[in-house]
Amino acid sequence: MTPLLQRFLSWGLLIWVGYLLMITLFALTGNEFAPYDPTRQQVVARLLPPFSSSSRGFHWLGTDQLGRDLLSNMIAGARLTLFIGLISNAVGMAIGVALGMIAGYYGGAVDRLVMRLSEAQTAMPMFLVAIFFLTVLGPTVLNVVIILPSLVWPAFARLVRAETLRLRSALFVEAAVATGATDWSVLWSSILPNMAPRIMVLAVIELGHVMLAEAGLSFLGIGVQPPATTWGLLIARGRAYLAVAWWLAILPGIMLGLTVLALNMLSRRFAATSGSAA
Amino acid sequence: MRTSLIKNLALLSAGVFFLLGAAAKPSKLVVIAVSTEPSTLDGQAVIDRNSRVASGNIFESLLDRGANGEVIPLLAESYKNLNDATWRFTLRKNVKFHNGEPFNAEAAAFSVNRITDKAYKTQRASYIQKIKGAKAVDDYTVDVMTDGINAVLPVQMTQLVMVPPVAAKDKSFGVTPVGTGPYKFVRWDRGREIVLAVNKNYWREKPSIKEFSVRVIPDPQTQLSALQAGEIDLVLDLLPEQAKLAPKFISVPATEFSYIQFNAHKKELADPRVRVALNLAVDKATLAKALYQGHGKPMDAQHLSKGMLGYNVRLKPYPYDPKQARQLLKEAGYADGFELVLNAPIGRYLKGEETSEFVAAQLKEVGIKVKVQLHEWNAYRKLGRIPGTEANAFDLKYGWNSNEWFDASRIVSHITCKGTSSKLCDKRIDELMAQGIRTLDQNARDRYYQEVWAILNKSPHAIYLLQQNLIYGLAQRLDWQPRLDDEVNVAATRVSE
Amino acid sequence: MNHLSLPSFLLARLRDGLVVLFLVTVVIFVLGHMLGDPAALMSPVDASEQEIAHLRHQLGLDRSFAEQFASYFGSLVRGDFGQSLWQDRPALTVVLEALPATVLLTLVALVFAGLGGSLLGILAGARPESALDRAANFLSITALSVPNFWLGLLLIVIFAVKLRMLPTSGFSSWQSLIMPASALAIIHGARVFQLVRSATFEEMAKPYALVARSKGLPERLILGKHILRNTAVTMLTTVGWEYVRMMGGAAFAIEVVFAWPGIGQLMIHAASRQDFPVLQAAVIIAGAFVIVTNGIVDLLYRTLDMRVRAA
Repeated sequence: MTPLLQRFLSWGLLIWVGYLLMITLFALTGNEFAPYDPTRQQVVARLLPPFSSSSRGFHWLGTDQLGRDLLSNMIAGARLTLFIGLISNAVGMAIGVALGMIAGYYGGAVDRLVMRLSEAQTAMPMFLVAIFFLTVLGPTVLNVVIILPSLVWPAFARLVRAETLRLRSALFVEAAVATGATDWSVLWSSILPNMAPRIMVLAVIELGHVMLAEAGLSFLGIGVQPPATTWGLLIARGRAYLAVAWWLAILPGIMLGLTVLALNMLSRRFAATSGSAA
Repeated sequence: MRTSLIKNLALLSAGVFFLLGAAAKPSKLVVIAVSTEPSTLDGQAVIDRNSRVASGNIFESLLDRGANGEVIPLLAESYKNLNDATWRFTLRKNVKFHNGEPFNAEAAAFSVNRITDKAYKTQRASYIQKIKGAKAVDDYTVDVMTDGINAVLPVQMTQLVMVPPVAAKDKSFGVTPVGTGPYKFVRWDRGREIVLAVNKNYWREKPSIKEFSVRVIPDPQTQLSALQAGEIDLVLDLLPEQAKLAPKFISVPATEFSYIQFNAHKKELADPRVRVALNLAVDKATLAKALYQGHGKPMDAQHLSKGMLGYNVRLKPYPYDPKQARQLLKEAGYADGFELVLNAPIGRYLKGEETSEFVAAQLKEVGIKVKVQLHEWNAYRKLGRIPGTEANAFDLKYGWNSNEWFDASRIVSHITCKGTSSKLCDKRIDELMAQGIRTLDQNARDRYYQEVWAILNKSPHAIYLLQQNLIYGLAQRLDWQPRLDDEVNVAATRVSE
Repeated sequence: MNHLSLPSFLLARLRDGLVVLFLVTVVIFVLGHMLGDPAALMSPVDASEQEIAHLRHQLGLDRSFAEQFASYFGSLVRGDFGQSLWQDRPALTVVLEALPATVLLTLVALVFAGLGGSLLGILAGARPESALDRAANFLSITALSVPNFWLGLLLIVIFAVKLRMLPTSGFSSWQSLIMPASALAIIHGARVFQLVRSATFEEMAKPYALVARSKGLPERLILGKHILRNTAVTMLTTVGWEYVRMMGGAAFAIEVVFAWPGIGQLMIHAASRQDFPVLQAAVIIAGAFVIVTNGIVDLLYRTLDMRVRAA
């Protein structure tokens, strides 16, 4: 085992990694692991608390207002939640990294422009703009994936810009330039690989942010619409029954919270062991 | 624009001070909770329950409904039918509007003409069909003209409120309403509550409750908690699950009927056998028992209950028979089923979204794939009015129909060929409905409408679901009985401290 | 920019703030006018095609982009945000009425987040790896991992439904403020805690602190004076940034959960009714608020920073 891996692993961490693997498995396999069909209604068995039984069988996490098994719905919800999160994060990362590298490498007016843009964006009430955007253009998965990256790209841009500035004057980069390498190849082959660990750490953190933001939009009713399922939508659906069936809204939130927590714990450990002061 | 800027800044500071000073309310104030804020308090403009709680106590009409649903005089002392198209109302004397304007024939005529004016935007349009206008004959006599014989004019006049000619012309009338009713408007704190106080010059005996407020509490759980804590006195719409948790509750089978309207012009739904099959495929008894916890019962395949004009005793709810449903579909040539979209509004009808999902699942069992599409209220209403023959008309639409007229003619716009909400065209039904409105002989009308529903039983215009109960939650101290027409009459309410 | 004199700094910040506000209006304009159909959005739902076309001409939507934007911007500057479709009153009035409730909620939450987070942060930073430190640190990461609206729902279940101690939602008395403010305070306080903790930790490792410790001076003294002063900058600016974050959207989900009559709740109501003028006004007003707060935080940072340096 490499020293890095050794330092990285610890029992506590394995739990988080295991949890994330489980969630990923759910997302990849869809309803395979769900005990029941998530859409199957059984109105006479509605609003059952966790650990109860109906004529269908045992319901680990209870049933909702139409008798649908909650656990099955939570497993089914993993796919779209993760999908939107990963794609939005990837897009935001791509934009942020690209802009950050350009700003850091070329400096001058370009740098100022990019920094101004990212400052401007942090100062804007982005969540409100997202609400506005989704109301005007319609709450579809596509539009959600278009607007969510705008929440994360500034963080990437700032990090990458700082890193690029730092690495630009490093010896190996100067050597590459001296041998006549194009800007593009310098950025791509020399600078980017060195930033990669820190970018990945940030990516893990920002994935958590994006997932929480998506849940917020779904909860408010302007994100993904039914019959699609995300954890945010499940929380929204359960909200009306908070007084008589609290598990409907609370448990999906726990699943989401644990996922983001796992991401945060991993990113911290990864940051610590990769030697960066992130 | 500087004055409006200053006004806005003043509003801002006033708002801050008001909020910071939000203290506990005095115990005498009666509070009624509503789930959505009225958009206006103009009694002629809106029809939804939330708005009527306030406007229903501010405004009055010429006629009213008695304890057993019969039409009784209110602001009019008497009325008679002059000729086929004219009704003459003799008005009560010595009644004043809250702002001092006199209530007289001029005001009455103005009120009728205001609401029937095409340029006036009202949600009550379907309630004032066939009323042409009014004119004052002398100070206390007014004639209301109808478009041909209109047998339900008296019923319509119970819901046409009187407004003051001068104040109603003001643009702010919807924000500072003025009527003749037992309560007058005091203030409206947007997003929070509307406060009304007793009208000291009310023409009848003064109500015992001196002041009450209509408070906007969107969340049902909050409404219940507030009721339990004694902060509010009346909740109009308890969830079935909450009924047992309220200090007191009253559950009444109301005049509300839930249904899923067919677009009979759509290819697959044109065959009456298909529509009967879809009625057989839905287990309404379970819907009432499980989803509504018994606060509702399957309707007798008509938007009427016993005692209403046109009720056909021979009709019973369709049984739950999926086997027969599949058989009928096969006969009609749809053994493989087909796909439909079921449209429903968000947050408007109690458990509407759930019922839609429930019905979708049941229809799937007989081979019909249904996708539930939810809409915001205004979009939903717009969808409903698209003529059935157009490409973007709906397939199925979930809704509730209230029949506060207690009269089968109420549903005319849903089942006649030219009806604005209708997606069905049957010549015999059109004939019968036209005859029903054209005579004043109530027995004849009853026969015509009974025949209409007999026809509809073979060729239904909707999946007939439930007669829904209205569940009211009351505080211990409130002494109140619901009315059949769901008007919340605070004047007749008492509190026992 | 810290080398600039105060007036130049203020001017620069003002210019930056106005630029951002301008950008916000541009974004809203592009989204609303270019990508949506403003005439359809601004007409009542049962308007006919003719009426919509008429409105389109009235609004001048057949003019060029530049002309349209100029007239749009012109009305904004004059305070004319259009008429609310839902309430038939000026959209600006509707938004300004909702603003105080949001300000009240966020300020109260901010005070608790700031005080609680800073206090815990200093205590934890001064005793790294202690039980307190570990527990608080873990809790703070957890608080930042859960959706804030979910935390609000959880509080409702515990305190309003099960224990019946507090009102479920709405704004009826000062008790209504407790849960929504707590939900916000917990999450934003967690971030304050993290940053103050690491700042304290850094301070404790600095020479003067180590020296003072070795001299045997009581820890309280060290903490009290120097650490506090040096971490004050971090504390205040973090609190400021958290306020920006709150007003940028976090507070609004909480408002919806608790039916708090502020801008967030207003936006969702307006969105469901397609009340485009109110939506537009809400974003711009909230945006202006955020930008102003941003500027104040920057100013604060600069002033404190210079004072600390001078000390």
